[in-house]
Amino acid sequence: MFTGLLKFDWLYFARKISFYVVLVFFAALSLITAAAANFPFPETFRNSPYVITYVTGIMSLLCIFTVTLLAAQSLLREKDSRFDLILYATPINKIAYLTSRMTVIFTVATISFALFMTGLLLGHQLFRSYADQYTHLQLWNYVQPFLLLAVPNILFCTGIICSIGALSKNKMIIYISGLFVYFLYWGISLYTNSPLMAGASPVSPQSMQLMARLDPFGMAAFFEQTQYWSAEQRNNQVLALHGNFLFNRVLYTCVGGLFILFAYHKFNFAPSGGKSISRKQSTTDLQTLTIKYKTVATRVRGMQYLIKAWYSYVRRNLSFVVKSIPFWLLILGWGCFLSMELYGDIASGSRFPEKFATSALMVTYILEMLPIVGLLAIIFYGSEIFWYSQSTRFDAFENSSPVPKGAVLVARWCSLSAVPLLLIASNIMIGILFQLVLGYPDIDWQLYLSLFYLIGLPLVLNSALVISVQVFCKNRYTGLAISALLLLITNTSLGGLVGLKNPLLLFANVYHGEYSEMNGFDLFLNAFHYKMLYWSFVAAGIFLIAVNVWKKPGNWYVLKFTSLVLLTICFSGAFVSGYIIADQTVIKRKDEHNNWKQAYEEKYKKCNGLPQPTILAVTTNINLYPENNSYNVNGTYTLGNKSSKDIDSILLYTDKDLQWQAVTIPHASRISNDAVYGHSWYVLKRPLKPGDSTTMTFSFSYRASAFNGFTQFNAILKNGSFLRISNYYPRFGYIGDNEIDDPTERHHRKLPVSDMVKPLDAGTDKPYNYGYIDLNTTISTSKMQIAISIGELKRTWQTADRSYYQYKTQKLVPFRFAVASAQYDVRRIDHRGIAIEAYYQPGHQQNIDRLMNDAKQALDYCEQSFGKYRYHTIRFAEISSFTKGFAATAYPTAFFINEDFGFQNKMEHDAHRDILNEQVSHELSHTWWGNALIDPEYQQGSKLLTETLAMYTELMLYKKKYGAGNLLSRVQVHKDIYLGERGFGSEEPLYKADPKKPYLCYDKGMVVMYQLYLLLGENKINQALKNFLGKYAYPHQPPTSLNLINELNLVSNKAQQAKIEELFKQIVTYDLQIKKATIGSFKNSGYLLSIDVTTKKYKEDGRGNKVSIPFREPVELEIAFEDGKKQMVSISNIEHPIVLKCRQKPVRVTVDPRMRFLDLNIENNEKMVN
Amino acid sequence: MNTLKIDKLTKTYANGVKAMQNISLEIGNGIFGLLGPNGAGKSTLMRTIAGLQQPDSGQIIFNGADVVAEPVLIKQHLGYLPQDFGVYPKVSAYDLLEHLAVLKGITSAKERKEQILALLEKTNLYAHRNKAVSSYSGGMRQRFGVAQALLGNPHIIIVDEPTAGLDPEERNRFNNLLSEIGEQVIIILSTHLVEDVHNLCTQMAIINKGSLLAYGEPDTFINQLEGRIWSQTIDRADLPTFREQYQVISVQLHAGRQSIHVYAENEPGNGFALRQPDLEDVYFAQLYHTK
Repeated sequence: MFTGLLKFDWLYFARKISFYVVLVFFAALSLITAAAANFPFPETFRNSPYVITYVTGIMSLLCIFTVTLLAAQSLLREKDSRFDLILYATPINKIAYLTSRMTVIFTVATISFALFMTGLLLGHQLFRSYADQYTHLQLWNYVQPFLLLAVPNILFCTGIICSIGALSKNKMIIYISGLFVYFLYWGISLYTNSPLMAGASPVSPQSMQLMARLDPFGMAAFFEQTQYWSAEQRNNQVLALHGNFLFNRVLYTCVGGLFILFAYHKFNFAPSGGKSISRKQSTTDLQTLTIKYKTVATRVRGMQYLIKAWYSYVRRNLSFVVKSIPFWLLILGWGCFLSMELYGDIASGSRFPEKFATSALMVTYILEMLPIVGLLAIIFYGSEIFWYSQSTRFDAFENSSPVPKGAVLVARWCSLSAVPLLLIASNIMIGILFQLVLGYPDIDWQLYLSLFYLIGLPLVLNSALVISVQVFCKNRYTGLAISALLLLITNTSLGGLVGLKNPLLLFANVYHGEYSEMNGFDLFLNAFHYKMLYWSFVAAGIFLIAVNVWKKPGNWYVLKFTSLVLLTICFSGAFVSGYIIADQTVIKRKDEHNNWKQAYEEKYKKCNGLPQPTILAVTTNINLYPENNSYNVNGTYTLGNKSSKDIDSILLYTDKDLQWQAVTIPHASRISNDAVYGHSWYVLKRPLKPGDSTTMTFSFSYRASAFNGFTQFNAILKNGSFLRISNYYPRFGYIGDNEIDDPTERHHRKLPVSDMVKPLDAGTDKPYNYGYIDLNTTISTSKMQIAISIGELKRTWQTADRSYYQYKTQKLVPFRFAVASAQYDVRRIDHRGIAIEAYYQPGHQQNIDRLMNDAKQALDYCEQSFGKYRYHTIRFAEISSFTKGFAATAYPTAFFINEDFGFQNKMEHDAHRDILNEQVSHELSHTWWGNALIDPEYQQGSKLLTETLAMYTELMLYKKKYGAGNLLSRVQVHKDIYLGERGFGSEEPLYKADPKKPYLCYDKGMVVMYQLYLLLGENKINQALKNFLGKYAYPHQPPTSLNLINELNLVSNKAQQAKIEELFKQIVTYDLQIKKATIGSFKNSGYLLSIDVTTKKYKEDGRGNKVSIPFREPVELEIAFEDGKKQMVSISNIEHPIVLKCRQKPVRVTVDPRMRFLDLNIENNEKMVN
Repeated sequence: MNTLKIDKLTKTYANGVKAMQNISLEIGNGIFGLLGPNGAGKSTLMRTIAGLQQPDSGQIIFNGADVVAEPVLIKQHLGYLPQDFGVYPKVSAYDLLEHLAVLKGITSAKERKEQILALLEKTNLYAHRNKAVSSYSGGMRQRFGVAQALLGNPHIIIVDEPTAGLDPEERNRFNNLLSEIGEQVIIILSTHLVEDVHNLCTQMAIINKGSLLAYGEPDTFINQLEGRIWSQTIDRADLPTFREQYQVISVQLHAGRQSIHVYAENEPGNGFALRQPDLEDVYFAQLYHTK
């Protein structure tokens, strides 16, 4: 019987066109993925086992979709065709029935995925845009992830979805179970530091391990196993079936199996929904009425009739939706999921403190997470609502009424539109509930309601598309599949994957911008308005055509006059609004920017090193117009010749993204202008002699585009602007920043290795030209705003509608200045003659006192340890979260902090993760390490002298505030970031670290400085740093990392010097482990503790290769006793086993509890005593 | 007086089935019976009249209006009970009727309520008005179908095998209801039950394989067969012989034995007795003669 059934079930699919559509879809997808998809894994081959496993894992998520669709079609086909009673009355046995159904679903899903793998393999072989990005073909690299990831995932999906489907016999429940499997994956991947969900905090090893075991699709286990992998490993190693990955695969195969067993146990051949049939009562009904039937006049014309009929349809459809259990499962299930995510975000990770539950936070979260659920909901409910009348066979009644078909279709669209709107409403309720429960009852209603426009309207327009697609397809499942494909490609990142970027093709996307408490949605809303206008016209046009097709499928193109007029309006509206969008949007082709950079380098590299004038002084007016997101600048440079040769021609650089009004260099004539690259040549009538000076004037302006966003660090906003404005001032000579700096990209383009980062041993010019300037800035902004820049505030004044601020530097500063402007509240204190000022968003005052105190503490510590503060003012300014790329940044006298980092966090709850203290200490210390004191040349290891020392100062100030006991957890966070990120790039020893690798100079730097602190102690280090400052601070010759190491050596003994060598000049890692810890009694008065410790030490080459080297250092052991006391023991000679005598009963032993060694795995450093 | 004029209606389905071939009819107030075996094209004809599907060619004029071009013109005055229908699950009879009443254009809430309650009473569903129709028994469901067909002010009511599945008592009640209404409006009733046509209809048509076989008053048809229908009870084994020798129009079982009716202009002899023809004989004779 089984084989017969199997054959029958198989033929069901094999005869369906949709089966072949799925196959073609998978084949096409695989080829596109192989040819076009880019992955952020540096130095990893496109067909490396890592990438193949990654792609297999991610794409196996599609099997949820495949299995759900197959199950909905196949499991309920008897019910749909009302053949169920006949089938159930046959002697068919349930094991054969269920197994054959599930086997076929599983097989079809597996075949389609196998086709995907084959396509991927073929794609990798056939479409090689860069031959050097591929390694040789290894069949096993494709087969292994297919067997270990895809097949168990399909089995799991089949088990869970088919079992639920077989038991519920309800289509919506099948869809919902598919959706839930997807949510399950999503929820877990948010907690696993998956590269798919870039998180700010690394996850703890414990939760990583837990998630690795729990992720039903095995991706978390994949990320866990490969988190520290080097490029070498990614290119050669396949996933090993052991540990958590093995556990996970076995677990979920069993879970799938258990579901099937459960379904087998519970399944019965009974028609679903055993409804109680109300029997007819006696013919003479007791209740009688006296109303006599008479005909009633009807009115079937006019608006009133149409509206009533429309409303009646909507009511019926919505009552079907709202009364269905799946809808509540969706609302509640999604609600729980969102709540978990919100709570997780508010509680933050190991790095950041708890956030305030503000309306802005809630709305940002809903904006980010709801759209995909809304899309899935309208895809599923689209087919449900559209076919509701027909599938219940009530359509004959409705269709015999004179309601125009158009009105029925409009009613279906409106009913479907209500689904996402209800979802939004429920999410708003969750947000408000969170605010109330967490004690932040300041509810921004307008902001919440804006969600109906930002998410609601696009989904409503998408609903129109879904309904229209159902009309065009005339078949429920074809319609479902096509609308799903259309929506997912045009509305999710899938579109980007296939190269869809044009905003005129991305159907009614929800608002993708962000929200800031300082400046709201800012100008990006304007672009959104235009897009909504355009898509409303497009959607209306499509819908109108759909109405016509539905009315008269045969000759839909014959249009009535009104339809023709309406269509013309839609077309013209779409054309005009689309033209505006297309005209304003700059679509960057994939390689456009890099092509420009390469051409720039090839054309101008020869000018690198030409003697050019140095800017000595800048006097400038900066006029900010926050209300229309623009600014203009004019200025005068004093230029000098600091070289030893005459300068007779000037190569001027003016950023091509700005509008340049005028550049005047006296006694010079412009002989060429290259607008594409922003360069002009000027010839001086009289050469500028060494030591001579001259002037030049210039003016330029910039206006941000709502359609294209800002150039980085040029965010001129309605409120909370921050501009690294000096980046846009005229410069001279070759601009190295314009080079491509990604080594892989340079390699592909056959460009030589970049020489922009100077080698450590290259030497420094003597005397060194720091290029420092005297800066005099006058900033005007809108009347209510305050403008912040660097230097001392000399004067402020106001005119009718503008405010003016004049800043002047007292000492020379680097040519690097910034401007911020916002409506600020201000707090000022005087601390030993230094004014400390905080400029913050009104309403963000909760942590300002802490900020001021932290600043005082940092100032005192730095002055005491390193030297006097050079200026009279310390100015902290809050800036909008629209500025990306840093949490805070330091300039002489001015420090800018992003509103997301520290202003909206509950510090008092989190003594262990006080981000504000970290930031204030770090940034303020840049006054010594960076800015205008220690200002090294841009070379290998240069950031060791600025960022690493700032990390050290930050750590010492944290110790001062919270005690030494709180340091380890901070350092561990940075160690995890370092170990995680180095796998995605190469590594140099710290003293030669590439300044572009933050995970070395910040994160590894922090770990190394902590270990140095354990080695030398705070006083010795500070002494060395003070000496270092004395020798190398401006105006002395700038230092290199070797100078710092030298200063540290001067305060250290031989043994310490060897360790300093290891920390800064080598890459050394450890693996310390306690294998066993047991006790025996000893002479009745104590215990003999026997510990088996293994110690391994590795020297690494930074490219993923390591060799074991002898471990000869003393290790610390911490022994915890029964009474809670702890004892630290230092062991110089590691024997096997180590035997210690204890008076108390020991319960736990930890090796290297203070992390004196850079241990790759601290999971195994602790053992309970047996 | 309502009039429905059907002229040369033709419909061939994509699979080649000729559902209607040149059907022409003229129907006025009263109940019009449509007889024919399964698959004869009755439902297609009725759906076409109701404006639910388009014919390939031909015309339907209802009260002077061209229904093929503008189906909405008949739908404004239509009550339609299809042969096979479903309902929205978990929705009460009252709510469903309310929905359909709105669609039919009863704009006044008060009138809507009154008519719905009256119809519920008339169809004996008043006590069950708040129960979900999806939980009704077959008969109740059928009565619900009747109730909805009478909503508003129908000038033409099309009922497709309405009494299938009803018990005799319910069938009687239903027929009474129809004849009560049928004086004012056109009712087109399709059925296999010749008896119902006889009892109810003033006019009738017999169709088979998409063609109109006969069309007129039932009594006229019966009169035409007067003296031409003969019957005899025979052994089962003899049937083939009889079929060869006579025009056997129908074979019926009578107490376990077979009673055959034959058509003959003159007395066939051989034990046949003349019988008073009834409408069933008309029906079978028509089918026989078009074989």
